[in-house]
This record gives sequence, structure tokens and C-alpha cells, in this order.
Amino acid sequence: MVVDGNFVAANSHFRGQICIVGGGVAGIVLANELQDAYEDIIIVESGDEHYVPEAQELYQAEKYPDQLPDPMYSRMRFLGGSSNHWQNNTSPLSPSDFEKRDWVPNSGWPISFSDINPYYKKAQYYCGVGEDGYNTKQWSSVLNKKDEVEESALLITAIAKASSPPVRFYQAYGERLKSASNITILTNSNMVDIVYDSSDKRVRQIDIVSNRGGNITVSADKFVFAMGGIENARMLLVFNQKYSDQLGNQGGNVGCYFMEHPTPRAAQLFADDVERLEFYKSVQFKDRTVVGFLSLSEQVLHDHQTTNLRMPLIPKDEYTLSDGISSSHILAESFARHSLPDNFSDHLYNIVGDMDMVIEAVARKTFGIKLFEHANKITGFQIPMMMEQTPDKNNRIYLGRAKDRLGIPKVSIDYFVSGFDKACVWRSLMVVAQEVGALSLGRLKVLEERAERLWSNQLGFSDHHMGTTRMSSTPEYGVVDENLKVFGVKNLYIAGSSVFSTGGHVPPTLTIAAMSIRLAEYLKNV
Amino acid sequence: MSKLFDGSRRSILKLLPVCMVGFLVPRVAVPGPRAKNTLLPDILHLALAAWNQSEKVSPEEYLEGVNIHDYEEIKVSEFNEKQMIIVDGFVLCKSEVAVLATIASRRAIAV
Repeated sequence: MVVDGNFVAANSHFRGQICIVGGGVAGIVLANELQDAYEDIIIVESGDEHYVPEAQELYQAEKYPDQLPDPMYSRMRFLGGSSNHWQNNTSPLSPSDFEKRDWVPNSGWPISFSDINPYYKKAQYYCGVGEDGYNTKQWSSVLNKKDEVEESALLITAIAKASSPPVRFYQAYGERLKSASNITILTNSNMVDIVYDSSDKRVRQIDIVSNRGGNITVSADKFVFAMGGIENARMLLVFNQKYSDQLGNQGGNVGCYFMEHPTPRAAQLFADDVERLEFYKSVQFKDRTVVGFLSLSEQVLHDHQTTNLRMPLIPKDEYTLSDGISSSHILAESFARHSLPDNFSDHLYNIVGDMDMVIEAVARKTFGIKLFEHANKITGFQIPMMMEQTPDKNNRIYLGRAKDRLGIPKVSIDYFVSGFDKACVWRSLMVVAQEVGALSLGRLKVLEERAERLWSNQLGFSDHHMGTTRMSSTPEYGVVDENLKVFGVKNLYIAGSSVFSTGGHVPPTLTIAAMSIRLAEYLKNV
Repeated sequence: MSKLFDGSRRSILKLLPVCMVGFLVPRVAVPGPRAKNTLLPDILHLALAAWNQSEKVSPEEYLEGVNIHDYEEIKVSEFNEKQMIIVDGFVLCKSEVAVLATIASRRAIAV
């Protein structure tokens, strides 16, 4: 049942066997999986069954880098969490994502791909994408589309699936939770404090303030924080201030190693024969869409000491791929700074050679009209690649000075894309260029000359917040162990992408669901 | 409105600024690799510059050693052997750039 915290009597106390804080993807999957194993499950959710501004504004950050999307809007704070606005693209992580790669600093999980792989099947069910896997050969056969890189040692075609329309986790699985006699969903309820028994190393109770200011407490045998990639770290930092870093912060790692999936549009593909790239065109299959994307083989990652890229091929028209428009932006920005770019004459040539597209841009933006029909003609493919970001301790979530209306310090974020990661992208793209040429698929245009803009105001992000309570073998390098138990605490666990040791190059939701199912299996036996 | 500009007008639109910049750039712009021979098509000139920067032999000499009947195979093998040159961001194989650079050098002489 759903209990609205706003209407609970003052100082009410709830007691459960397990308390899950957060009703997003991880929390909902976990509760569903535990429903038959626990007698009393309490889900504590800050928001409501629908969007409420007073909960959402608690996501307001004190400070974050300009280029990063505003954390107040890049996640959703009501039942279903960020699945309420996700695009629903799913792919599993690769075996190498879990391995210690000598050339990738801070890489390596304490578990392997084989530990998580059994849970991906059910995770697909939760994500609404069928349980038919991501095997490229199988999908090539089912969709009757040739995998043009099947024989390549350098490139692979990987598969992404998305349900259509996207699964909103509370809409999809909320009814089952609401109707369960052993589950209480406490809405409009914000965890603000915990009671931690240092001698027994257990969390005894959490303190809650409702969105209308009422006080509630919840005690349980076990607690799971499932509040999201930023909020898990934020709240754990708050509690570690009170309890002298005993809750997983022995190594000072809470909030550190924050990762995103930057998406630079760093290359374009001009195909010899567009028909050969049909496998990379999204198709509707039953109630979902299936699409291939290019990635590097594990051999390439090792041989070239680089990180992987998720490279969808998006057909684009002449207008979108115009060098002239891009150069005109670069010149405009330089002029605004009263300077000239290094390759000024190149940009001038681009503008001149592409003058019709520049005029088209002016017409569209200034007058809202379209001039040239050929501007809409598909001439190539843009590759909005999703890149793996190396875990870096200096990319971190920390507590700011300003506080939200509940008195909790707002979050501040230090974040950058390292030179190493950028170099990996260029290195990886040269391998791609080599292979698409060798396979006569086309020619790759690597946009390194636009690097300054690509890595600044043109850089896209995926709203994938990962790594801030990372999984590790020891508290020296992480926050939770291989079973997602917080180091130093006997009964506190963390679910969600904050436990990812590395982020891979694919969207995290499928893995969040798989990890939650794995955690549920563990919690059934302890 | 979309048909306002037909093909011929578009050509004129492109030609006018090219001539203008071809005239102006050597005089006012920062001298770059393309400050000379500005009448050459852009990609050809860039190919020649890229070739000269990375290779010791002339593009003509290089192509003399290439069997034109096996051109497709040669391109594949050059990519496989990482014999690539970047021209204006395009990652091309050596023989492709050699062809473009050869045209550029011959046209430069003609100009």
C-alpha cells in the first residue's frame, strides 16, 4: 500500500524487515524481487506517485560545471525515478568492462561479467525489451540484416534494444507493489538522518521529514540506499560527517570517481553504399526497437590501450553535417573573445565553400524559414558516440555550504573529461577509420580540428551518474563490497549505478536492474 | 519559399564568395597552408599539403608504383596496413591522397 508521509500522524514510527530508501529503478526492482522473501518491506520515497515540485527542488545543486546538465533536472525525484524520463536504450556491459585493464587507471570490479550475466535476462524483462538477448548474430538473422563487420578483428556490431514506448518503472511495476500486503510505500518522505550503532556497526533507524514537515522514523533489520548516482553519495557523506567516516568512507572514497557518459560528436561517416549500413538503422521488432551500433573489439582495446565507444550511426542531412556552419560558430565565438582561431583561413574556406548552408542557417534561425531543399538530403552519418570515462578520484560529489529546505547540504560537483579520455577517443576513432576503409564501408571524418568546441559547449551528456559509491575489494579503494554492502556497516547496502566501478560505454539502466536482482538474491540468503 | 533558390542561383551564390575570398584571403587573412594557389579546389590543395607533410616521395612517384588495375585491393591493403593520411579530417588511404595530391600539383602548374 501507499502511505502518504504528508498525512501521517506526527512522530509516527514504521518498522520493517528491510527498508529501501528510494523508489527508482533500483528500488522498484529490488522490492519486486524481495516481495516473496520478506514479510515487511518499506520503500521510502521523497516524491509522490507523480511529479511534485517540492520534492524535485531538493535535487538543486549548489555548484556544478557549466557543461554538465543541471542535476536538478537530469534526474527525477518521484516513484519510478529517472525512468520517468529515460530513453530506454539498453545494452549489457562487456566482459572487459569488469576487468582490471592496466592502461585504464582505477579500472577493475571485484566481480566479473559472469557474476552479473545470469541476471541480465530478467533485467531485460524489467526494462521491457524482451528476454531475447543481445547476440549480434541472432539479431542479424532475425532482422535479416547483414553484419558488415562480422569478420572484422577490430570492430564489432553490438545491439541496443529499447521498449516502445519507454518503460516507466512505477507505472509498469507499481501496481504489484501497491497491492502487496507486505509492502509499504511511504511517499513524500525524505530521509534526513540515521541512527547508527557504532558498537554493533548497524544502522538502527532512519529519520524522515515529510514534504509538509512532519517527522517519521523507520527501523529495520536491513537498509538499502537506492537514491541514485548522486544522491546515494550525498546522503552517505552527510551521515559520515556525523559518524566519523565509519560508513564506507574509511578510504575517503564516498562521492569520488563520479562518472558520466560524455557523448562527443567527434566523427562522421560518409558511406560508399548506405544500403550496407542497414543493420545500424533502428527497426521496430514486436513492441520494441532494435538497432546495431559499432564498438571496438576487446583485442583493439588491449592492443591500442584505449577505451571503448558506443557508436550509433545517425543519418544526417547536409545542413547538419555542414562544415561551414560549424566554422561560422567557431569564428563567431573567437570574434566575441576579440581573437582569431589558429586555423582561421581553414574556417573561412569552410564558410565560403558551404555558403549556402551558412545562409540556410541564418534563414532558419533569424527568420524561421527554410531556403534550400538539398539541405535536408541525407549525405552521411553523424556518430554521437557514448564514451567510457576513466574513473578519476578528482571527479567527485561533495557537500556544499548551502542547505536545502530540510537542512541537508546541497550537492556540489567537480567534474572534467580528462586528457587521457580525450586521447583515447581520438585513438579509437583512428582504428574505426582504418577498418571502415578496409571494409570499404566508407570514409570516416574525424573532427579533431573542432576539438575545442567538441569538448566544451558541444559536448553532450547522458544523465548517467555513476561511480560515487564504487564497488571494491577493500575500503581503501571503494565504498561497498562485491555484495554491495557498505564497508564497515553490517546491514547497509547500496543499489544503483553509484556502485559501478567503471561505467562502460553503454547506458547503465539494464545493469542497474541486473545488479538489483543480484542484490535481492543475496539479501534473500543473509 | 523553399524553391526560391534554384540550382543556378545556388551555383552563383557559391561562386561569388569563392572568388571574393580567393582574392582577399592571401591579402588579409592569416597566412595558412592554403595562402598560395587559392584557385585550387580546397580538398585537392589540402591533400597536396598533407601529402607533402607526411611523405618523402612525390605523389606521382608513389602512384607509379601502384597498379591501377588493382586499385580497389590496394586501397583495402593500405587501410589494413595503416597507411593512412588525414585530409581535412577525412581519414584516407595513401593512394587516395596521392591521386588528389597529383591532381592538385598538376593544376597548380597549370595555374
